Amino acid sequence: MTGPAVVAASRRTGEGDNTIVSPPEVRRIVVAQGIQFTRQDTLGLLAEAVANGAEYDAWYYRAILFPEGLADRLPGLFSYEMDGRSHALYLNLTQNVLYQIDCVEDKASFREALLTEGIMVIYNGHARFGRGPCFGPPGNLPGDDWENGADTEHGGIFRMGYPFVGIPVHEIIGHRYHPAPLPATEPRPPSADCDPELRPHLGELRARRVSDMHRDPMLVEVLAEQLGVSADSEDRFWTFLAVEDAEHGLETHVVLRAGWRDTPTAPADLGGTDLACRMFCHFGCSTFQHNYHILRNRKGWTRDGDQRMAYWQDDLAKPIGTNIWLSHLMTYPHRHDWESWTDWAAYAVRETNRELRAGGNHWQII
Amino acid sequence: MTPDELRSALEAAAPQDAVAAATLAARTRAAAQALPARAVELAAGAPSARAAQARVLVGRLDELAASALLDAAPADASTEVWMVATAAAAIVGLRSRIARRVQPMLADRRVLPPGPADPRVEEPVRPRRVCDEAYLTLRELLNTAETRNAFVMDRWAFLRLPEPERDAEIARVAAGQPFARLLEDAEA
Repeated sequence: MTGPAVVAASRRTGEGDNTIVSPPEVRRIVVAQGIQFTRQDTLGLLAEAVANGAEYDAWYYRAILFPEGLADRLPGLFSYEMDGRSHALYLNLTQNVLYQIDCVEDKASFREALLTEGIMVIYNGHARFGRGPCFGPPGNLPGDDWENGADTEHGGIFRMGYPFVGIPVHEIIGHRYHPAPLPATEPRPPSADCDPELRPHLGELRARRVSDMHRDPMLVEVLAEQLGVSADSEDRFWTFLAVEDAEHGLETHVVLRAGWRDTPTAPADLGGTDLACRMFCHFGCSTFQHNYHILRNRKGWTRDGDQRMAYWQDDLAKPIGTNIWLSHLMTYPHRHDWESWTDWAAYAVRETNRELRAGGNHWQII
Repeated sequence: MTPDELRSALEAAAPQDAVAAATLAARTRAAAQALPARAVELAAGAPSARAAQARVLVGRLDELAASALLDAAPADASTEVWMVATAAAAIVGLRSRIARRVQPMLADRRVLPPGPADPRVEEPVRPRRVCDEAYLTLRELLNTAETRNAFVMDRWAFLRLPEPERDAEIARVAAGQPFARLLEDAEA
């Protein structure tokens, strides 16, 4: 997945003397767009907004597009397509850094980026309720790309979650994937192994048959197929009742096996991937709450100076943060070639959060 | 930079241009800091009636001078102590002003209008009330013993509590000693 490297051999100073200056450091960033957030998905929504004369929506979808949204923020960004992928180059003379940004949209390329020494990797997409970054083709198609992947190497979740999550049945039915529900023949999951969203409900867990999980018999049939049982099965699974949203009201949530290592998608999961990248930015909803502890403590990918850096989002988020983040990294106003990434990243965190706050957004980068 | 020049500069830049925005911010900040910075420079000079006069002026600039004080070059011990003490007093005063502004907001149960949504976001937008935001602002201001990570986790958990539980927590904090002390400081 090596992208083009453009390195100026030398250049003259602005004053026109003959000084040979250091060639810029080439810094590579891989932006991985998740399922339903591919370029084609966003282009479709942009076209629809333009056709409907929805001015804000048109602005918003362009702002989150790579590279268009980034080019709007950084005049001078050079973008191009190669091998069906979008790329961009940006030379910051003050920093003496040439940024090379490559956009990928599948799990294998995301994993390869994580395994690439010295680069920055940004995931921009669904958090899948804490299960991990998730990849799939454009079009919001139903199927297993919303869970383990129709092809586990290239699509589906790159698991990096707690061993157990609680998922509303409408989500499972709506996306038509095949999860692994926790049978009630097994002990209730211990709190420490549960995603923080599930923990408050552990005292309310009840063993339910699939026929008890939804009022609509037709949807029970659908759910049964997805959970791998018959609609009249007496098999019971751990569940709880909660309101996920107003549309669905009080509904059954099923405890699913999730995890980060030895998952059905291994080695395409956190346990099977020894990250070599220098920075990983997990920009999905509430990724700090869902995945920080797993990466930093259970996986043990701890920060070491300006190596093994990781950044997260701390609440429900929209994908507008990524281009803002990139633009602040790329406009850090100090020389920065071969320097520590610490102050550079701290600057981008501060400036991105200021801009998110100014835009009335309720999440921050942490 | 005059207020009209600021407006012109703002209008001249493309709204999304990050480079232009950073340049304008730096220019505005430099213009705004010029007077406090000069006052600090005069105040940090050798002891004299003029330096003493400048110190009084710097103190009266409150939080406007805090940044200039912290940006000033290290000085002799007594000047150094004066600079950080004056900056800290200004910030304590500012915290008290925030507390006074937040206090009535703790009782404001209006729901904030939700921002424009991206239909793809898979989790529901939870309604946030003015009092919830006020509580979180106060908590960030007061609870300095809490680590950043702990604060972020607690904030997230707080917003997922049912309204009665959030109200009880808000009432507990509003009646708490650190908040009372901030208000006392403002009146002392």
